[in-house]
Amino acid sequence: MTNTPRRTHLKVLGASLGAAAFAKTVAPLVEWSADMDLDEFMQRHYRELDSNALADVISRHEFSARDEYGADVTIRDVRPTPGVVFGYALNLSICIGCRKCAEACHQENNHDRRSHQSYIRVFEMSAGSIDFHRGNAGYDHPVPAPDKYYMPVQCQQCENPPCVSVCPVEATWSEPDGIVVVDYDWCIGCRYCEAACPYHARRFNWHKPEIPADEVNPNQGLLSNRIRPQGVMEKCTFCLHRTRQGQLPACLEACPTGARVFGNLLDPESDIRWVLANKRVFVLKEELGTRPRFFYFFDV
Amino acid sequence: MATSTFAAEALPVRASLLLLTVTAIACARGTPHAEPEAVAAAVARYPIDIRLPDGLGELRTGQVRPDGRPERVACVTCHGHAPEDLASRNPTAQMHGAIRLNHGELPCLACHDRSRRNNLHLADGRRLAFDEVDTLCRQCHGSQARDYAHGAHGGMTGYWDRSRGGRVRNACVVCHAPHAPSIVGVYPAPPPLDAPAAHPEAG
Repeated sequence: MTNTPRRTHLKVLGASLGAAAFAKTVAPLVEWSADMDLDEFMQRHYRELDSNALADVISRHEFSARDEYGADVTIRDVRPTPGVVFGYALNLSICIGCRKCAEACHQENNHDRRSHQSYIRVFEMSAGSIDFHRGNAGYDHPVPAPDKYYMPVQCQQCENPPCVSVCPVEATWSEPDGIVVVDYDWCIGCRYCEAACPYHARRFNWHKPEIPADEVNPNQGLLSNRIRPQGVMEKCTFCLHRTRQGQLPACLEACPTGARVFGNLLDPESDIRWVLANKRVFVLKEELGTRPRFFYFFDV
Repeated sequence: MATSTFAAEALPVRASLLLLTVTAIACARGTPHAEPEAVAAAVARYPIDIRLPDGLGELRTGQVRPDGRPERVACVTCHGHAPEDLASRNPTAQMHGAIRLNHGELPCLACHDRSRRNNLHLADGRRLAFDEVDTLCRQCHGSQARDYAHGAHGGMTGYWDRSRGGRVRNACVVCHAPHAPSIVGVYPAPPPLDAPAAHPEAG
């Protein structure tokens, strides 16, 4: 016989269980505090950020670049220009497969040095065939090789992007200038988009990117080449931190043959429009209805 | 690297910049505005600079200088003092032996001027300086010249939006050696380490 009634015992037991469950629930928050602060945890989606919140986000990422990589970087949020929709065309007749575009992408976009990652994959293809099954992206011999042609593949910036529609958290979307971007802070790393992309254009950060401080490109865009965290998706953004300021993308500047043509699809006087009007142009996997803004053409 | 401004591009640019300036001054003084069409047509465009190669108008003799670098002699060292007494010498073997001509069936004098060897000449006989060599190339390579004019041949750096910045482009002979213009092979940059390997049945 005790002084406390049975009902009180049950209450205490219930409260203890509740407290234990609550402690278990918030444990990740407590455990994460070492490398993830509350601001980061509470950060809203990129498109819901007001200018103050955006400035906070940017300064936090600039600080972490200094803290984790020892690099002084400038991160900007460059917005699309009204009246501009970007298009890219690639001349298969003069591409020699030198991979300078992929190398320039690797450096410009602060890719992981260990995996030698790049948003561009150059396929060595047999003349007369467009069968990627028989293409080889790992070739390592002098180019151009006889009876081969070279097909660089990167994000096609689709007008109807399957990667966007499969994202369960809307961490990726199509911007008004046609560039498909990723909010690296919102991405949960489920890799659905990687599976949905018919061009194998998306990459996953399996590791925290390794980049020596003196090799970090300090000119960074919040939605483009800032150093990505581990566990998120990334993709080609047509170098929006450059192109939205009128500059050419890094891969085009690196191309020694002039196989790449970039410009505003809405400007009838642009080089890209001349190519579309005068060359034999096709898009990759047209039958899928993705409507790429990346075009391939031949000299004829 | 020497640069020269692509004449066809530069003149309208300067004209339009001038027009903009004139319009701005006119507006500041309170005189009537120019027609909107005229203002729209006068949007300033930055120029396209054409990069010329080092050593234009010089000849590699095939000899090596005492410091180990290849000997290069400016054409004007021997030529350019018209009239030239070429008959009294045998310079072809002496000076020009390192040139391996592999440019169709063209003989030297198809491009080099017969009487002034420090110049080139067009098919109609008009003389050209070496830094105008692109004009010479365009005579035969029309489709490449057309593509080049539309930004679809030859590398470039700078701005796609020429209202915000200029471009630098290469002259034809930066990439194509005039005596042997075919592009020779290069070793590619290393592949990504996650590159899918060739399919086993691929050749």
